[in-house]
Amino acid sequence: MNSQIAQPRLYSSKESILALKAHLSAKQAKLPRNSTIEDYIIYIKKLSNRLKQGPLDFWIPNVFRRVIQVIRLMSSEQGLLQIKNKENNFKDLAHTIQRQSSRSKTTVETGTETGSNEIQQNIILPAIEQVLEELESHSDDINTFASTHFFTNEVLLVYEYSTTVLNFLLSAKKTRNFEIIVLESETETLGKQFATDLGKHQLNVTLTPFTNAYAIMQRVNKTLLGVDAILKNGGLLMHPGTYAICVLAKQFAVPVIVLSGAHKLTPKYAFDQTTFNELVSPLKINSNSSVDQMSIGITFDYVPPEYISLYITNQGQYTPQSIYQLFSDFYDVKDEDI
Amino acid sequence: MSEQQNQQNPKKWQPKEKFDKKANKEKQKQEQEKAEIEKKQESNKESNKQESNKAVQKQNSKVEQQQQTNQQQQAVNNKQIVQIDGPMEQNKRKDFLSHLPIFQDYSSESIKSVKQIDPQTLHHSFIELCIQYQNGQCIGSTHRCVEFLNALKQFIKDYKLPRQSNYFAIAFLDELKKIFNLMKNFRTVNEGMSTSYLFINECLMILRDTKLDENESKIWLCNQIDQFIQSKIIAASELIIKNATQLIQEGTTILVYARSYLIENFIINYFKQGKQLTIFVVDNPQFGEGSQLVNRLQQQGISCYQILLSHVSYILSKVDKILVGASSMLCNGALISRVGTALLACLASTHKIPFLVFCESYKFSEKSQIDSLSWNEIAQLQQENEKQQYTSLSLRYDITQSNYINMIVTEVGLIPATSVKAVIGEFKKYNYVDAIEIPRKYQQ
Repeated sequence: MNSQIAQPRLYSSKESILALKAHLSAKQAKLPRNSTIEDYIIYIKKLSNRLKQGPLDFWIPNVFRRVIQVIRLMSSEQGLLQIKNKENNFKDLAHTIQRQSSRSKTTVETGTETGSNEIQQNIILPAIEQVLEELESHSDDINTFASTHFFTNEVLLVYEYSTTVLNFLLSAKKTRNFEIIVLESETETLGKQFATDLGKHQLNVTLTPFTNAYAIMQRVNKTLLGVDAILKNGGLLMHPGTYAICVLAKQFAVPVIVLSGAHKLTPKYAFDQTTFNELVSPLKINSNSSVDQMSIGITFDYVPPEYISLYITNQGQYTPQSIYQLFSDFYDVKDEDI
Repeated sequence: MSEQQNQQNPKKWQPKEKFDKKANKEKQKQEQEKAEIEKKQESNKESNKQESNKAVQKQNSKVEQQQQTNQQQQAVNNKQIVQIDGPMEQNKRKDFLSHLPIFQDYSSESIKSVKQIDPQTLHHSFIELCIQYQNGQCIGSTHRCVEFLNALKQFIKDYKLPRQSNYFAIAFLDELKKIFNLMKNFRTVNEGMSTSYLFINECLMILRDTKLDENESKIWLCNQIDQFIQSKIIAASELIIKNATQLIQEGTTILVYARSYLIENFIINYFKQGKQLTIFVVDNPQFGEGSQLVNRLQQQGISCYQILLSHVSYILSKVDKILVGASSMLCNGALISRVGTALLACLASTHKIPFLVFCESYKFSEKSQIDSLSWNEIAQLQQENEKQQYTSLSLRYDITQSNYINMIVTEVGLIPATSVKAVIGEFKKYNYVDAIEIPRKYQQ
């Protein structure tokens, strides 16, 4: 996953779920004849392994974990966990699902179904729909907290592009007046793009290069960050440079607020900057680099939980010390090694 | 209503006013000739407005005169903005940084044309220097200071006493002041240049009491400037390198930010002695200094790693020491250096990495400053935001507080940040260099 693309991570999560849907409805789905819930779960895990783009891709496995968890919840509600020996006419299955997915995205229709279609229709597909809905509406849920954390004429600091933060600020603009300072990383143009996008909505925006962070931090009241992955110990993985900003913010006693959808929750632990990281090609940093003057560039920055004040997710507001609770609701422990 | 506008507007125009009084006089003359006619018309209109307001509001006459002059200056400023086609960003400076000076770019052609008409503007060597300052060809505090002194020597050689005064020293004092004030319009004068200015003042005071004629005074003054460069810059850097070599053992990993004359020479010297270091150079793409340093080291056959400031967190655990150059050291122990140094110092203190500053003693200053925004220089970004939906801000300097600095390496020794004041006091007794030799007539 390139960090240079100005696409929300959401995009990859959504696409992977739609791919799951397509796989289930396609004729090439390699499901055994009498599929049980566990078979589906194993199938989904295998699919996530195939779709995953490297060991540092968190978003696809996260969303599949969520799907599996919702399946488990739904099936425990309906008591269908241990169903076996139902007849499975695979072709009918394929037809009915194709018909359904071509109609509408929302509810399941009880059309012509054979016995074992029930599992897929009543559990799997609704589970997928629910997760898709969560993904699409996460911004709206986060924005409900928009005005509760700001006072009038605040100065906010943001770093590089984040669609979650963008939506949050646009909804906060309706009730509060504030000023935004955008920090721009040295190599990428995402900061400029963010500033123009914010400026289009008549917000008071200043763009500064990253090196001015210390000088600017004196003036800042709060820092808002988007995030790439939230780890189970409360730390986070984000665009390189975030660690420096959080250290500065702690020095100046500026609270750091992290906004994210719950699909970024990753049940893993990191210790330092090197646990989840990857060196990027030196030519991307500096086109003149050679063996003698090697350029070093990294993908992620790990921020320990001590530097963060609050997480605002679409499932609620949490401190770094208590966000583990959200993990146990959101995912199942058995799925953590996808 | 107009009164309120006048009170608000002068604040916005303050940087422009300083700039207009001292800068290109000829440009002003030409434009004022054009503007005078229109100015008269406008001031007539304004005075009419003023009279009507007076009748209504019963104001003081003094206040009115001030308002008239402000309005006239505004009229002039308006004309000049339109005719100069300067960058529009000057008008839209944010409120919290409206106190910082903004320097307009001069093209060499406009300055040369000015010089042909009115020979009393800057000497050509200074003009070239100022253009270099603006372009970014001449950056770095030591470099700028040395170039300034070289230009000054050139000026001294070309300088001819006007007929009225017999004494070189007194006349030159005035000239020096003028030059210095004019140069402030291109970029702010850094601390090294101020110290050298004070030193030359001292020399001129001594010269005033002797009876040397013009040529001998010039030669003596040039010699003194050479001595200043030799002892305060060149010899100082050798001592600093010697002191620093004791501090840094072979095989350590050091991190360097941007480009410092002292640190560059230190590294080259260290490798010439046959020792090895692992070097990380943190680059500042806006000024390009890091890559300049890397190129220079590569020419000497030294390999190093390049990294950006935002990626520094990755290697901080592997770094033993951080070395940084200085633009000046302040009386309260704070360090003025390239923007971004304070961020590095903050990270260094969190990871408990020693933070060393290399600074010659002539850069010590008697000022005190606490935060980076109360005084700074705004660097003009090359790309201007066309649609102007946001304002860009880019500073040149950064204040690092004394509690982040572990040690300063100077030619007088290794001192903590809090001893800067004591060192300044010592130097004041000795005219900033050492006792200056009183010139004698027979000296050549």
